[in-house]
Formats: sequence, structure tokens, C-alpha cells
Amino acid sequence: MTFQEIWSPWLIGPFLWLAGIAGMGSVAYALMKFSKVEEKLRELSFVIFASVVLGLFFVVADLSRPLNVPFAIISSLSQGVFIAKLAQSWMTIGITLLSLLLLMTFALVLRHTVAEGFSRITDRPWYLTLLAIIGFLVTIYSGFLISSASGVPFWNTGLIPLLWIISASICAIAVLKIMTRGEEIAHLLTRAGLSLDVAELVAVFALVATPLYAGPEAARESAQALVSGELAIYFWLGVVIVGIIVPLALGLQLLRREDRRLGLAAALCALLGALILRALVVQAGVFSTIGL
Amino acid sequence: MKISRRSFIALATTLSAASLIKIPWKPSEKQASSRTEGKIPIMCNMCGAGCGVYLVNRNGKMYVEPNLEHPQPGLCARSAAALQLWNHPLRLKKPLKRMGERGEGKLQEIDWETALNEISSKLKEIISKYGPESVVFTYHDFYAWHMPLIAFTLGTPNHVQHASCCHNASTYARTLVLGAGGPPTVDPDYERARYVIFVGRVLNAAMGMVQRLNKAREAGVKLVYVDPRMGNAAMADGEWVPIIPGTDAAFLLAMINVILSEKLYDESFIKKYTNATFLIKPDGTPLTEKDLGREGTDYLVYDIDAKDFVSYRKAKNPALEWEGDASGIRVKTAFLLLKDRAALYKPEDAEKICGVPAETIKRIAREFANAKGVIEDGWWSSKNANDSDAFRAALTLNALVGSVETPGGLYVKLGSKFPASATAAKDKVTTITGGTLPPITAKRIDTQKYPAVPHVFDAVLDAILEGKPYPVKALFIVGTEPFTRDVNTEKLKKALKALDLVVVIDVVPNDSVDWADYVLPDNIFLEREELAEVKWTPHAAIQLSHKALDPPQGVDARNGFWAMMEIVRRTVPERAKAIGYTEEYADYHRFEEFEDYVKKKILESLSKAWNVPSGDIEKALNEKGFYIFKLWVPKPGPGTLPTKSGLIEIYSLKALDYGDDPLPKWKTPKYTLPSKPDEFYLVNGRDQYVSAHAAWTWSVSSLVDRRVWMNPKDAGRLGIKDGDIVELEGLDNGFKARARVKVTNRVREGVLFVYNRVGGRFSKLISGQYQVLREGINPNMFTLSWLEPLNGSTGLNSTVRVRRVGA
Amino acid sequence: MRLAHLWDQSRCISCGACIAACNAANYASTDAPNPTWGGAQTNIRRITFDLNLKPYILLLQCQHCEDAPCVHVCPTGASYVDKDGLVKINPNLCIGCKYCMTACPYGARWLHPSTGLPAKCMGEECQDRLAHGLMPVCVTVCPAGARAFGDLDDPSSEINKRLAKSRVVRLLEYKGTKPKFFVVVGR
Repeated sequence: MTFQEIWSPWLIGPFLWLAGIAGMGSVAYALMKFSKVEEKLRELSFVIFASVVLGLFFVVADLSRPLNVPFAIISSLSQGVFIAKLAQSWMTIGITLLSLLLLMTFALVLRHTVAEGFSRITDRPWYLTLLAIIGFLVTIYSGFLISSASGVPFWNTGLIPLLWIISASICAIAVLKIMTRGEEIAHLLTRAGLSLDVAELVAVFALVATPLYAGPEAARESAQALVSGELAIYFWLGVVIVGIIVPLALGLQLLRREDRRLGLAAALCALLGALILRALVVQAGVFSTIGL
Repeated sequence: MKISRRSFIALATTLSAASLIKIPWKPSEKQASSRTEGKIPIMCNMCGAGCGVYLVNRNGKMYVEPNLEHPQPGLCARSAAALQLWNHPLRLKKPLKRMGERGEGKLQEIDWETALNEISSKLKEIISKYGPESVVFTYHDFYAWHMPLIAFTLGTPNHVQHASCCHNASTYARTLVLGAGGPPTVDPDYERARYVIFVGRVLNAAMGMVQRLNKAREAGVKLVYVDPRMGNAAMADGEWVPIIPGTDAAFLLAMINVILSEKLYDESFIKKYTNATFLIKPDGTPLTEKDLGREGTDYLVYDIDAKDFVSYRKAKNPALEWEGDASGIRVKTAFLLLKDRAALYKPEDAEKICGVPAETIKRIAREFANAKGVIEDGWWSSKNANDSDAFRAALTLNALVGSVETPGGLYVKLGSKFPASATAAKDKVTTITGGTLPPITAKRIDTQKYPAVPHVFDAVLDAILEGKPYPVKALFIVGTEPFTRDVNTEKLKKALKALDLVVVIDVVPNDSVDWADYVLPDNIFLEREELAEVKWTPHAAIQLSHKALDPPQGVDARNGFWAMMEIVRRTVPERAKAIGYTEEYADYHRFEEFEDYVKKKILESLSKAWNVPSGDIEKALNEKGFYIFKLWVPKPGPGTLPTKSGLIEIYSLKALDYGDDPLPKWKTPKYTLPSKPDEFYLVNGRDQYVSAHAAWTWSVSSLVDRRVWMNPKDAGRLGIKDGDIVELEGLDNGFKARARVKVTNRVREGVLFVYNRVGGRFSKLISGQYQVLREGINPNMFTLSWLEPLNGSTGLNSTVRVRRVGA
Repeated sequence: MRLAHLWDQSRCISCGACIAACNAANYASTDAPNPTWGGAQTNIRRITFDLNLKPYILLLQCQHCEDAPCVHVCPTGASYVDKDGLVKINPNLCIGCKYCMTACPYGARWLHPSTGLPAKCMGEECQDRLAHGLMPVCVTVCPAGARAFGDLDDPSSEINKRLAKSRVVRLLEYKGTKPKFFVVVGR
């Protein structure tokens, strides 16, 4: 049993993580704007834009023909192939969505720094709605991207996009937890975070338990590696304990009494756990078992 | 989506920049350049089979394709990887001279003139002190034809090939039973075969056999592989019979037992074509006319019709099973003696020896006899120093069911009458060039100890170390690798240390380069022309391998034939002159003339022998790469054979001459047998990508493995997992080495298998990615000098203790 | 045209000729290692099932699937099926995202170290051979008659003749890739 070595877990893992932060962070931005919360919006716009840029760096770093990217995409567009591919390939969709998100979050940064006049567009409800939709779709795409790679059975499950949405939402909440100070918003974030933590625990359980019982052989091998094999220590320590259990426990404490430092700890643990989760899922992939 | 003007400009700039940056396809800098477009006929020499292939040049790309019209077409992975050998980064580029001690591998480049002069002056010294017979040439397939010319011109009879570590056991069997010679002289008629039993053969070579077998496979031939290990071919259609190493003879004798007791033999064939009807006296010798006081010396049989003893040439109805009194001498037919011998090997008894269930032995014997099957007569057979008996039994079985020269049986190859390069007769030495020399008085070293079959290198080592029958002081190792070829590595090292001169002629740094005084870089087969017999075909045919390439840039490799002739000329110029090799050929570029002259003489000889115009032969050789003189056709039975009786000698009279048992039997191998749970047989062998030189190519490196194969039951018992590292310790010589384990059902319990030639290499000149060649073990290092008497066939298998040392 | 490969597992003697020949013809006999599979740069890989009761091998190469997942997931259309049914790569459109490599359940692609292209059967030389009426190299060199290649839509093609008289399976059929690599397991 050998793990897939096509996509690097330490390039694609961070990419997925940053895409999730940017995606659900954009949703959070829109929600905050709609709720008329102005606190830390500027910093949030920096974070989500930086996440898109950094994410793109990571994903381009994994490419084996990065210099051909502009030529290839323009060529594909001009031949009309790219448009057709939108209906087939999640990566085509992803390239499109990430380009849009890059532009839209760049506009936000400009609006909050040197081009305040942009607020005429970016503060509009339609813009914020679009931003939220694109952000959500980016998060969804980052899940379906992995699950549509049909060579790796462990990845071929709808649980991954679901888990990515949950986990990315937790990341967005964690980012806000780190940035904001307000008592009310902290409380809101704690409650949202708690429910999502529980959901994430269930989703992670389902992700590894399903193939253990019903999966194709390669998926079972991936799950076994995570649960009891060579990746077990990183899975249990990194993903489950640090990523979910600790924030959950801290969150319950924070429900009773908000505390700046505990909040920070929970947020950082959640963020770290989310990164390890994605890197591990990519690492644990095993190609289909072929035989007669 | 609207693109803002700013974004559009940015996009356009990126686009123009991108069109300037194109991902370059870097063609391999080492792209071969050939002389002509199209197909060049080549005799592949990546191993010893000499299959017919083409070097194809299409669109400037060069690769190897089979020559399907050739009587023995290729190809296998070795052949397909030929250009990787041609282009090898570790290819020997210039002559090298030893700087440190032998074995240290400290070598320095020198130029050709210096190398040849220094070697010759040392040789002169050695010859003046010890005589020319103190010089030994050891080789394998390259320059095998040329070797007598080189050695005899120098004045030594000692050109000692690899054979004792290869085919001496099966050659001895062929000599005794059929009066035939080396492995190509006899082989199954694969095209028409119905049932083929391979004993220790895995269709590793030649590919022409595989091609001929295709027809039979389409018709449903049954293939049986009797082997401690499942070779590659046995994973396809076929039955693998896992057998304990060193017990093939017991298995085959048990088959004889079944066929004789169940009367499954072809009685009329036996009576007509074998000496089974000969009457044998109590001393083991056959009854002759002389014994009965009659005129003549013919062997006698008992003629049932005449109710009398009649010459075997004249008897109408000879008895197969008869014993009685012949003028006071108790005689018994050879057939009955064979029956008595076979009675010692009932399937149930054989099962205890060889580990094959009695029912399986019986079934295979019956299937074989009913199908009038064929048992392959053996090629590489030096495994347990008891192997010749197995092949004698195999040939006997073929005779019993009537599978000699018959369709689907064994064929006796039609020789192509290819002239020798030189012959050393009692009165003079004659050569292909027409020149003659005074006779060589010294006798070959190896046949003095092993008279039945020549080319026993261990005898040379004895001469080096003991000075008997006379001292050996100089050794030329030509295109062969003794460290992966021979038994008793320690003895080899001692001998190499004791010599006055060691010269290695090779293409890549096989291990002996570390032990050489001088290393001369040789051409590979693609770089020189060679006219040779087509070996692995029943037909009388020759082939011409064309010169296709020059050595790559920077590789000053030169034709080994030239290098050796130059050494001979500079050492004994008068003798060289006498055979027509004069100083003008010191200019390497003129050597082609000498080669052309030799070729011309060969063609003249063949033309005369076959009564075919030389021009016709040459035309076909140039256009198609081969020429067939005569086609073999199956017959009801063999013609007169070169045995003492002219018949198939299931009771070997030649054996009697050697003082050997005229009938086969099973003897226990010479190595210490395993007796404890952590002791194993260590067997080695090949599959169709292994050879001493092919092992160097990267393609072969990725096909072969350097692991020790272990059965899952043994692995489980010893707590060893796939990929674990184990240490093996030779039971007989204490040698230790480590390797990774491959747990596989392809080897029987109690046995470990490892590929020969590919692992445990140690030359200091191995570098870069090719250091993988150091991994694994060289199985020969676990052996001692286990040799059969008379034929010197060695035992390359051994026994080891296994200890897990890591993951 | 629907071009397809046939490989007869009951005849294959595992000699490796096809593997080495592919390297020689399509990759100029390079000894540069294959970064994805280790070993040589060639489009065919071999796996041995050592622990099976009767051990066997599989030779794996691009199956030229009729419903190829690698074509489906390629973001730019660099991976496509040509008019003859062969799955091909258009280097101009390839960005090296390797999605095709994770999408292929057969692991048929490997990353070419100098071009970064996800290389696979058919190599350039074999494509050129086809264009000139020759067989791919792997079929030409096989000594055991274990390979065939041809048009499934041509009733008289060699491959159809062999398919008609063989018991044939396809690999990972349940994945819906509709592979055009037929493995003969018997008569």
C-alpha cells in the first residue's frame, strides 16, 4: 500500500485551507456587512484577499508546467474549449471562481485602502450577495475538486465537500474570533463555532468510518492509515484533538464566560486542525486497487 | 462578466510574454546517430542467444525490432534496452591502468598504445619464464569464435569459457546419450510440441524459441515447469511443479519408473533407435561378437525370431526385456537394467526426496507419455553439482516415448559447417586465414582434470594457486564476469591476487575491473560486424550482424578482436605474421581489412561445404542478415548419431569409458543441506531481462529486483515481512550479506531465490543512479568449489541461515 | 474508428520487451528515472501479484477509455479523445495540474521530468507509427504473440478476430470508464 504522490499534501493542503478561509471568509464579510457590523471589516478584507493570493501561490507551486498557464488558459478560452469544460471539470470551475474571487476581494481591499470610492460598488447588496455566493462556491469547489479525482477511492465521497464547508466555516469564525473584540460578536461566534464543531466531528467520523466498513479496498487502506496506521498520530492528535475536541471544550467554557485568551487558543487550534485535516486527506489518498 | 480595461491590458501583456516562453522539449543530448535510415540486421548479443533483430531508424529515432524472417527472431527486454548499453554513462571510455592494489579499484586512464605495449611486454616476460601455456583467456559469448585463433597464435591451448558454470551438466548428458554437444545442438521442436516439460528452464532465452512456441500455444500445448521457483513464463499458461533444489534426477527417474511399469513407452521406437536392447554383462560392458568368439566387434542383441544373439545392425526382432546366458556370460538387456534402476525411484520414494507429491509425478508421467511429449534437454544447468544425471534422465525419457527427431520431440540441430577460427592438431595449428603454426605441445589445463567436457575455470584457479599441471601467470578476462559467473569467490580473489598479469576487456565496469592490471574498453555488438552461426534453430543457418553505430562521442572503445590480436602481435610478432596478421593492422582503422579477409575465408569455406556460390550467401547476409543452408524436418526417428553405437544410448557406453555410471541416478548435492527452521536453500536464476551486461541498463534495472524471494509460510514462521532486511550466512563458507526480502508464492517453502548477475555488485567505478547495482546479494559468494567429476559442472546453488535484521 | 489494445495474460511471459521497447522508441532510450513510477521512462508498468495462489502479472498502460475520467477533469481540454478513439495530450493546453493523474484509476500517467507533461501511452513515435500503418512498438516487439492492436469498428481487424476466440476481461469495469484495453484470460 503506497500513498498517492501526485498532489503534494503540503502544497495542496494549504491551498485548500486558504481557499476555504477566503471562501467562507467572504461569506462572513457579506453577512457582517448585511448585519451592519463594521468592526474589523478592513482587516477581514485583507485576510480574505491575502488568502486567495497565497492559496494561488500554493496551488501554482504544485503545477508541473506553471509557465504555460497563461498561454494554455487563453488558448483554451479562444478555442471555446474552456467554456465547454465548465460543465465537466471542477478545476475549470475552480479557476473561474478563484479568478472572480481574486478580483472581488482585491476590490474590497482597494475600497478599504486607497480607493474608498469603490464602496459605491462593493457595499451594494448585489455585490455582497455575489461575493457570498462566489465565496461559498469556492469552498464547495475545493471539496468537489478532491472528490472528483476518480483514481483515489478515499476521496470519492460527497462527505469531502460537506466537511470542507463545515471546516472552512469554522476557520472563518476562528479568524473573526482572533480579529474582533466585541462581547456580543464573540458570543455569537462561540455559539456558531460550537455547533459547527459538533457537525465537524460527525463528518470526520463519517469520512473515515464509512470506507472502513463499506469502502473499496484502497479507500479502506486510506481510512486505516488515518485511524490506526502510519498517519494515526497526526489524525488523532492534529485533526481530532487539537482541531475539534480542544476548540469544543474551550467553546463550552467560553459559553459560560467569554475570555480573550481562551478564545484565541480555541481559534488557533481550530485553524491548525483544519490545515492538518486537509493535508492529511491529500496524503492519505491511495490509488484504486487493480487486479483480476 | 465585464473585464475592466486595466485587466485586459494586463491579460494581453501576459499573453505576449507567455508566447515567448515555451516549455522546451529537450531531446536527449545522447541521441544516437546512425549511418542509414531504415533497418539494419543485427545479431543481438545482450545475452548469449544471438536472436535476429533489426536496429530501426525512423525519424531519427533508433530502437530495436524483431527480424521475423530470421530463423531465430527476438526479442526481449535486454534487446530492447540495447541502446542504453551503447549510451551508458558508465561505459568504459579509455584503457585503464591499475594504480593501487588488486581489488582496490584505483585505476587511471592511459592511451591505447601504452596499454597494448605494456601488456605485451609483460606477456613476453611471462612467456619467456613460464611458456605461453601459462596464459589463459577466459570468456563467455563475445569473441567465442575468435578465441582459438587468438590463443593458438599466442601459443596457448588455454581458452577456457564459462561453460562449467553454465551448461556442462546438460552438455555431458547430451554427449553421453546422443553424442551431441552444447545446448544449441539439441532442443525441442517447439512448433509442433504437444507437451513440454521444462526442468529448471524458464524461457529466459532464446526468444526464437518463444516465437516457435506460439504456434503450439495456439494449438493448446501443455507447458510444465519443474523448478524450485516460478519463473516469469510460468505465470502464463502452464503448470508449475515446485521441486526441492537438487532433486530433479529423482523426479525424472520416478517418471521413468511410471512409464516403464505402466508400459507407456514406445516399444518400436526404443527397439529401432536406442541401445536398450543391448545385452549387458555383469561388469557393465555390452556383449560383443568378440565375447562369443565370433568375427567382428558389433554389439549383440537377442533376436526373438532368430532365437539367437545377433549383431544389433542386423537383428530383425531384438528383445527389449531379456536376460539369460550367453556362452556362460550372464547378460541382461540394458532396458531391464534401466527398469532395475528406475525401480529404486517409485513415485512414493521420489516424493520423499524431491517434495513433489507422488500423484503429481504419476499424472505428469502419464500425460507426457500419452501426448508423446518432450522434455527440454537443458541449457544453464550448473546448479547443484549433481545435475548431469537429471538431464541424462530427461534425454532417456524423450527416447522412451519416441521424442527424438520426431515432430514435437527433440531435434538434433543441423550444423552449418561453420569453420573454426583455428584448430590445434597433433602436427600443426591451422587457421582460418590459411596460415599455419607449429603444434602446441602443452595440453589444456581443464580437460586434464575434467576430461569429459572442456571449459572448467575452477581448474584454472587450481593451476594459478598450486602450479599444477603447470603454472598459470596471466589471465585475460574477455567480456565475462567471473564474480557473478563462477563458484568460490574467495578462491577467485586469491587466484587474482597471485597472478602476474590480469587484463579485463569489457564494456562497462563489471566487478573484475577492480582486480585488473589493465582494462581495455570494448565495442558492443552494435559497433562491429560479426558473422556467426544461428544457434537456437534446428536449421543450418548463419547470420551477419551488421555494424550499425560507432561508439558514442568520448568513448574510445575498440574492437576486442583487434586489441587481442595486437597484443598477440606485439608479444609474438613472428607467429602473428605466420597467420597473416602483420604490423599494418596496428593502425586501428585498417583492421577492417583483416576482418574482411577473415569473413571472406569463412564464406569461401561455407560456399565449398554447401556448394552454394559465395556471392549468393553474401547477398542474403547483406540484405536480410541471414542465410539458411538446410531446413530441418521432423522424421520418424534419428539417423545415425555420433555415439559409439550410432544409436540413442539410454545405456551410455561413453560413460563407461569415463568410468561413470552408464545409467542416471540421483546423488545428493554437495552443499550442506538445510536442517534447521532458519536454514534454506539459496537458488538463483534468471528471467528474460537478466544477463551480465543487460543488468547495467536502466530499463532492466527497473524490471529486475534485487530482493531475496521467500515463501509466505516461511516468512510468517520467521516473523519476516515483505521488504524486511535479512542477513544470509552461507552454511558452508560462513559468508554473510544482507538483502531485502520479497514475500512471494513464486518460490517453494524452504527455498530462497535471488536473481543472478544483478545484485551485490561492488566495483568502485559504479556511481550515480547505478549504485542500485550494489543492493542485494551476489549468490555466487555463498558457494565453494562444488564440481561434478568428469565434466566440472559447478553448483551455483548453496544453503544459508537467515536472520531478520531490520525493516 | 475505435482503436484498442489487447493483451493476452495467458500468453505473456513477462519478458519486459514491450516495457523496454516503449522507452527506446518513445523516450529515446533515456536512462533518466521516471519520477512517478521510479524505474524507466516508459508508458507501460507491470505489477506482480505475488501472494495470489497462482501468482500473475498485470501490464498497465493507458486504457484509451471511451469515457475517460482524465478527459473529464482536465481544466483546459489538454486531455482529449481523438477521432480514432485514442486519448491524447495537447501540450499547448496543459498547465501541469495533474488532475488527470489523480483522476486515472489505472495510474497510467507519469510525470515527464523535462516537460512536466503527464505522459502515457501512446508516445510520439507510436503515434507516428500508427499514422504510417505500423503497429505500436509494444505490439511489434512482443515475442509471445501476447499483444494485438486495432480498430474495434473493423470486423476484420486482428483485434476483433482475437476477441472473438478469447475469454476477455477489462480492468476496473465497474468504474464506468469503458476501457479499451482487453485482457485475455483464456480461450
